Amino acid sequence: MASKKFTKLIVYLIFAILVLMPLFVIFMLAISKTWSYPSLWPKWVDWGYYFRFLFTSKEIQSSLFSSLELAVGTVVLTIVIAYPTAMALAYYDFRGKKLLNVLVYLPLIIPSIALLTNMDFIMIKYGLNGTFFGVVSVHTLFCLPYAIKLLYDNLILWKDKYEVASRNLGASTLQTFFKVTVPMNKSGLQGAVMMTYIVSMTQYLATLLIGDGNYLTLSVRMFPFTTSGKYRMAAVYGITFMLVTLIPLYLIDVWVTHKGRKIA
Amino acid sequence: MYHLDNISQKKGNTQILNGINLKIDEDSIFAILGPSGSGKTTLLNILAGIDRPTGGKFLNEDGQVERGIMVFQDYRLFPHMTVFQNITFGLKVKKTKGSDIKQRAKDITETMGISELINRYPDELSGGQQQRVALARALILNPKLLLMDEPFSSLDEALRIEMLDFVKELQRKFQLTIIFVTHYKTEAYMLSNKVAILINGQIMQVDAPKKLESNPQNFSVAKFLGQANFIEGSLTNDDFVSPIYSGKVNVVTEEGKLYLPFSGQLQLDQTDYPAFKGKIVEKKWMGSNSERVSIEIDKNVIYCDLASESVDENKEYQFYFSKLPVVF
Repeated sequence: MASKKFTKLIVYLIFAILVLMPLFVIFMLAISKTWSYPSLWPKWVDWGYYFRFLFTSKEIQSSLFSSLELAVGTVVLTIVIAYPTAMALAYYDFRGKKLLNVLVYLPLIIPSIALLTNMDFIMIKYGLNGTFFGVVSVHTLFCLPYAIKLLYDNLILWKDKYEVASRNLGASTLQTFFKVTVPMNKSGLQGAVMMTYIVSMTQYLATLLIGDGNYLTLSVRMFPFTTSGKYRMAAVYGITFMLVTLIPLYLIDVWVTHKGRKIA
Repeated sequence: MYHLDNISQKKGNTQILNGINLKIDEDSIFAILGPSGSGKTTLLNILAGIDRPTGGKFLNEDGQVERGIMVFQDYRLFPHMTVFQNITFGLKVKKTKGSDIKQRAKDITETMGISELINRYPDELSGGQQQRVALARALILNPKLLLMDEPFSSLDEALRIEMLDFVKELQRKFQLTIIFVTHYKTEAYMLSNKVAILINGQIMQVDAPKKLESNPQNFSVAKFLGQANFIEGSLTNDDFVSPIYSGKVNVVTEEGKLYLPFSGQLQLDQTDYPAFKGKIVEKKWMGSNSERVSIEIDKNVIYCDLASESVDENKEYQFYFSKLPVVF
């Protein structure tokens, strides 16, 4: 028994080191004033540096805004498309269902660089390159497979059993959707929203290429800092990036687990 | 009177329902009895407006389409809502006044005996309680037509009898028309005195329980109702030949199977239709008034329900038919 516990502890420890060490380094980088080779710890730590930087740097603020703006837009567009698609796949049998099932995953199967250069070409043709809708729709393309899959897996649990009951009791299609479908499949929606938000936040190439430089998001700005060795700046962006990802995730999780009853 | 007018349902290449014609009296309980896969639930879904038939119509007395409120086999109480929210769901979506909703919920929960449960969630209820909530959720809407899909199949024996009586009481109280489907014939017989037999998507017979048992219209009905001996033999005109019985019969269809239900057909008292001589090989207790006896005739064994203590084991008796037997 004891040895089993010990092995478990070791596994957790290795896992924690693998995940937490890089995080710790990023965190230390963001708050250290001087940290140069060969010293193991930073010589001078300034706890306020990060926040001063966050509140004074126009660049990081505008990046933050761009990232959030695109992520929210992507979440809305993705859910609007993914929800009906997942419902159709989960509830109905129709001709071409198998084909649609494969099509859904196509954005993940095709190499993204090939997809993006062609998308860029089309966006330019329709004058959408550099626009909000243009960038959001490309982000959406990469988010849809995850969102549809997560919603589908949740919807398939009950299929349309409860919707049928709701409509029989006199509820309209819309009432049924908001009073039965959404509350019953909250965890699927949570997964889809979280995943979409993260995937949109981390898009680098798509934002750069389709955005024509109009959208300098956190990931777009972070990349050159890392490649040119400005680790401290990169770390500040990294921390911000993590905060704006984790805080909404936490809030959504609170909403799902505490508001009403968790059922699946 | 509700009219089911030539209702058909086809899914893909499968004909699920085939020209269903029924007339159902208002303010009564009507049972649709059939084996699983016979199309019972499909028919009920059409009456509930959940599915649209590929052919035919379901109309009420005034020739209007009317939607029945359904109580599902698995109840389908919304798991994320309390009992109160479940019951008032139908009123809420109709934007009924709040004070009205409260009053009606109070009335119906009292009738159903579930007043104490209103703040619970469905998974905190027993099967019987869930069924009462499902009934309350439907009845709060004051429906004229209530549909029930296998309503008692998931309840245990004692509770089943209790709920059967309760549903009868509700029917009288609310002057409802209840159409329910089941594959248990006792359930159908106990609840309704008019039963339709649905087999392979077709209505085979509509009759009172007693008539169904004594005069099934064809072999598939007789076979589904069970509780009968089917004796293989050959037919020449109206004469049947088999190791057990040979003689005059009433030919319904020409499959050559003599239909001898366990009860009602065979007796010891003399009639104009002598059946056979047979030896009693076994007796089984079937409740205080009757026993099921195994009769051996020429090495063949058939079964028959007789009054208790009317025969002794290992003795031979002469049996008679109460009426001319039927051959399918």
